[in-house]
Amino acid sequence: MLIRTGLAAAAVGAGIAGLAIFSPQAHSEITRLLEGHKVDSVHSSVIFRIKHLDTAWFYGRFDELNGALNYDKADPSSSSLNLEIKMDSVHTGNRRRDEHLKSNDFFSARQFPTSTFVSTSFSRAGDGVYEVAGDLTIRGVTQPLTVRLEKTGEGRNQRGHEIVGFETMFDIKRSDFGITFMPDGLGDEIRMIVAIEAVQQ
Amino acid sequence: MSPTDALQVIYWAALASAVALLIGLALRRWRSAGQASGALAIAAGYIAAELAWRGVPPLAPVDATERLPHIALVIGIIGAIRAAAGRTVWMLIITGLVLAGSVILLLGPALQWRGAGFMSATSVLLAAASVGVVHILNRKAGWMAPTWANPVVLCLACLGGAMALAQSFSASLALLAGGLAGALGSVAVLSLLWPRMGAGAGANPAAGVLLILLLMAGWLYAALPLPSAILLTAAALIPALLTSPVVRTRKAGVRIAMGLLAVLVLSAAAVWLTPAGFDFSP
Repeated sequence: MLIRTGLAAAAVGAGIAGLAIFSPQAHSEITRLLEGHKVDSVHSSVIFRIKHLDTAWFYGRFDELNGALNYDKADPSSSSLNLEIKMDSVHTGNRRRDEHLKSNDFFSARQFPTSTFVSTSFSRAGDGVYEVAGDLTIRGVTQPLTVRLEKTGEGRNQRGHEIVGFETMFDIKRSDFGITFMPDGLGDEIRMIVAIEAVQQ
Repeated sequence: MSPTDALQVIYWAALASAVALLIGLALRRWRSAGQASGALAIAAGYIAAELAWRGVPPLAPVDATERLPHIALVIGIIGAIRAAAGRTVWMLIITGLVLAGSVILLLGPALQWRGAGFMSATSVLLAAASVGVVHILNRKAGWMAPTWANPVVLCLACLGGAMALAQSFSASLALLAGGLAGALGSVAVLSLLWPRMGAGAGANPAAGVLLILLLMAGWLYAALPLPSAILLTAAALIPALLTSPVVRTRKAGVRIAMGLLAVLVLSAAAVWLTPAGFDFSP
């Protein structure tokens, strides 16, 4: 009798624990911590600007950005951000210039088809602002980079999936990555603006 | 990139090549000095072009095209050793292996996604092809006498290659091909002044191989169409390919004109096939 009661209690307890663990709300809490967000390439943007003949800023963009964001609201230090830009998606509004940028004079896109950013640390720097340090690799050269990532919003998309948005702006020198073509015609400093919309997986 | 930049690159390449040849001329008591200096002149000219345009290349190249100056140095040294050692089977094999290794270094990034089996098969195939190319380029093209004619024909092929590479969105490779043309120009001039020097015999294979490597880089890493690369490779091999008895029996002036015309036609066709109208203004 005592054994049967004990077993029954254990079964009920297990059932309650199971319900607790696998309830939708609990599930979403855990998955919020364990699962990541995938960068939505269609709703994310990578824009760059460079000075032409030391006179005017010229803007271009990359059309394909992929990546993953593991964002823990409660504990940002356990978050991570990995981004990948397809270099042959460069778009400056001029086909010939785009082809030149893809050649070995600039990006060497056939040798180095992607540029990547892999975060190494993620920390809170203010309300909705994070400091993310990581390794930026362009044209096969890796340099450390720290950016301020600003959370721009969160919500749900049309399919009901949780989405979150971030934006960052930072400057790099193309010469640090071995891109030195046309030093007189084009500036060394490049400003990058990266706006990410990530969808929870 | 401005015309001044291009002229500067060609000037330094021609000067470096001329200096190497003059050193060879000074050492001409050594039987193979002329041929050896021809090969080293091409390497010196190419490296000078690289220095003039892109600066000192990194010891550990990141970009595959940054390996070309190192390859040029090896080709020059191998050419000089071949001149001293003579055309033995072993030298031919060693040359082929070195060239195959050079091609693999250039192709490496393009092939990195392939497996070990493909890389091994490619290496063997390239070794065999390299031996064949060197053998063809080294054949006594007597029909192209006087000795300055072969470097002139090859110089024209390099200029055609430069134009095609410029039209393929790679100013760097175009300028390096132009530098190679400048180096060959020096070889042609000094061969005209000292025809017995034999510099062309050493310069032509080295320059031909470097031009083919530049074209390969243009095909792989710029937008040079494969048909253009093939046509320009044929242009580089013109001095050796047209050794048929029909051509050989003609007068020297006619043979040279036929060679120049063949290179012009091939180069023009190659340029016509490239993406046209590229504007180098930033």
